[in-house]
Amino acid sequence: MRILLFSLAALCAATKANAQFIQMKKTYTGSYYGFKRIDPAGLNKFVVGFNEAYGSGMTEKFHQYKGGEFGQTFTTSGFRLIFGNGENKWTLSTDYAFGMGKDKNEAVFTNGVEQHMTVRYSTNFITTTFGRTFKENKYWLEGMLTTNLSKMFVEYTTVYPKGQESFGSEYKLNGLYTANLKTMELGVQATYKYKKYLLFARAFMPLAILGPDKKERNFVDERNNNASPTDFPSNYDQYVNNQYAYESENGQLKSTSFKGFSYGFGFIYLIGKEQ
Amino acid sequence: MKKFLALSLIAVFVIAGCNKQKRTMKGLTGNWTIERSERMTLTAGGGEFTDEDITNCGDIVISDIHEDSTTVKNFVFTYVDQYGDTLKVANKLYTDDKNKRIVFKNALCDSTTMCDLIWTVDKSKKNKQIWSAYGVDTTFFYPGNNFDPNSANNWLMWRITLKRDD
Repeated sequence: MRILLFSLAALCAATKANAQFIQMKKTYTGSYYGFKRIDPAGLNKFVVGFNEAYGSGMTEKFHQYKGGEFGQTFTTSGFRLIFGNGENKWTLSTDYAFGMGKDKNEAVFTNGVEQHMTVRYSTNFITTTFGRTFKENKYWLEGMLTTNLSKMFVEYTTVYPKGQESFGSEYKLNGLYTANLKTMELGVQATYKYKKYLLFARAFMPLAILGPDKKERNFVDERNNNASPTDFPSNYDQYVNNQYAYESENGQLKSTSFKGFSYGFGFIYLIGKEQ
Repeated sequence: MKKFLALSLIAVFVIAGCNKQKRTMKGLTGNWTIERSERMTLTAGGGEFTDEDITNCGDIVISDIHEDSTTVKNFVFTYVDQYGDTLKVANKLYTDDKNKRIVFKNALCDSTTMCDLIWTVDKSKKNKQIWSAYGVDTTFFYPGNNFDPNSANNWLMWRITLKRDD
């Protein structure tokens, strides 16, 4: 990261020395759709356990997750430079992208009550890119280093026969559970430039978990009035029947389940006059 | 000029997105009249049986704890039921990122415990709020630690409609 910042500072100095060295200096904004693969084991362990516990009284069970349900729509903006003197130039950018996605799951019981489990997933990508341009700056190929700040929610509600939806504490699981995850990710981006529009494809692979601490990766509902445990379970049987084992064997759903490979396709608009 | 406008627009979106909870909480501050209170029994067959339906039956005063308190407020909740019995409680109020719930801390109590009153937000407008709270069988509000949603055939609902006084 420091090397990139020093490079940027050197480029700024070079700009004053030789204006032709910088071929393009642009802010941009755009949008893309991102596909995401998560590890569904933690969520499915809950789903299977819950369905087993109450299956005889259910007309529709919670569906299991495949891991690809959490596609996200992103908005992105940033600042880009193209520089160099040869036929193929260098390009670097700083990029911010925010994306949101969700999946809704429902269980229906024979007494007419439903329980809804909506998993929401938001992502903040803070990215530095660096790469080469080809064919008179029409094609770009870049590496990306990203800090991914993710926030996940599980909204769990009970819906009564006439459609009234409750977040209240009358049922143990009702609530709004949140968890965070911060990862360092490595990516690659290929871009085609047409006038002021860019079409691109990008992919990211997580390298390391930067935070939070292992003990703080549970889905927690701080406002729920129920007795402990108040985090969202993965091992539902232990959650109901053996609280000691639930806590000692980490039966909670963990935010690390949401770490995974992602890729996306979209467009960017370069703001200002064409260069 | 175009560049400046575009950057300003992006900055506004980013700042607005970061402060959603603060905006939600700011909108709650003020004096509210309980314009209508409905208590119902809900049944497994989809029935709704009214136990109470009264108007102008109390008020809620929501105030800042201090000038820059944005995630928690003070509340004073006064409610007079159809028999003239008064519930009056003052404590702290919380909401969630997406304003799905309003939690009155320690709003209900008996000889052994203090319990939160958790409202589900059905409607949230500048001058009108509709909140609902629920119970299972004949137990209102108190957390029963219920696990099995199929074990009951009756539920209780309390819905209040609030109108801003200002």
